[in-house]
Amino acid sequence: MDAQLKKGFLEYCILAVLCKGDSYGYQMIKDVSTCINISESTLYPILKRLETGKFLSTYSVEHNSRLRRYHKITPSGRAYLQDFLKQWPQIIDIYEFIKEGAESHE
Amino acid sequence: MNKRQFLDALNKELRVLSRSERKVFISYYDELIEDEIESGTLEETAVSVVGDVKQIANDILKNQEGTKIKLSSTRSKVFNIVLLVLGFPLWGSLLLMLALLLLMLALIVLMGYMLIWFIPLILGMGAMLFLGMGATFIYFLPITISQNLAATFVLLGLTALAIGGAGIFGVATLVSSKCLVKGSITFTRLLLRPFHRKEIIT
Repeated sequence: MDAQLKKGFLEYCILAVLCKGDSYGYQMIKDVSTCINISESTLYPILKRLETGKFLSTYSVEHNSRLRRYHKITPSGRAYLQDFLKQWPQIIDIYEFIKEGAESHE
Repeated sequence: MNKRQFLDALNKELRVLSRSERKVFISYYDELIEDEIESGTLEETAVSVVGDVKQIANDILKNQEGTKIKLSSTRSKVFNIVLLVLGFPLWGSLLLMLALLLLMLALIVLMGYMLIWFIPLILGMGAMLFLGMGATFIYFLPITISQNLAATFVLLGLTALAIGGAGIFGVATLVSSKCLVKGSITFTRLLLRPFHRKEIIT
């Protein structure tokens, strides 16, 4: 998939994963990977961006005498995800438009 | 490559970032590798799963644009030297002033010592003077005895006074010197205390 497009989708995928419950880096990669391929180095900037946008918050939990950073979706994160889903008909329209253009022979 | 080597290498690659920014990335990758190991992967494999250090560092630095990046060490060294040279009139004069101030302070302390020691010096000189007077009077005593009895008595009285005075001044000199020696030692100790290293004996 195109890198730009993928980056956009990954943000929503992360938020979708967090809707099911708070999670940490390794688990999020595992969960999202069932749908789109995501690497450790691509996850970090996405998390950072979502945190800066206040779509998620973080907290640390001690696990096996080390710290694990958990991420929690915020109400505005949920709203952001809902907005994306609402946009879907428009995205389908864009897709149809592109497809129609690409298939025309003129 | 084990986890420690990986994190050290990453830290080195990210040296243009500030220490706190580096720490964030290091702990992020530390956690990921630890979780990978915990899921049953061997340490070396877990590290290779995370990816190539150089590639990771490049991605981080690319994404880091817009945030402040430390000047490279060589450039900042040259820059610092230039600043140091250009700033000489400022820090040079400040340094000179500080040196002069310290010198003045030292002189004042020295003068203080000398002034204080003037007291026993004057007292001692007084004692010597009286002693000298007494000695002179005694020297003239035999001469006056043969000529004038009244004068002899006066001279005798004066001699006694002179010797008494010499005694008083002498004692005062001794007492004041003793006090000053003690005082000087205490004062010097007080003055040097900030420079003493405290040693703890166990």
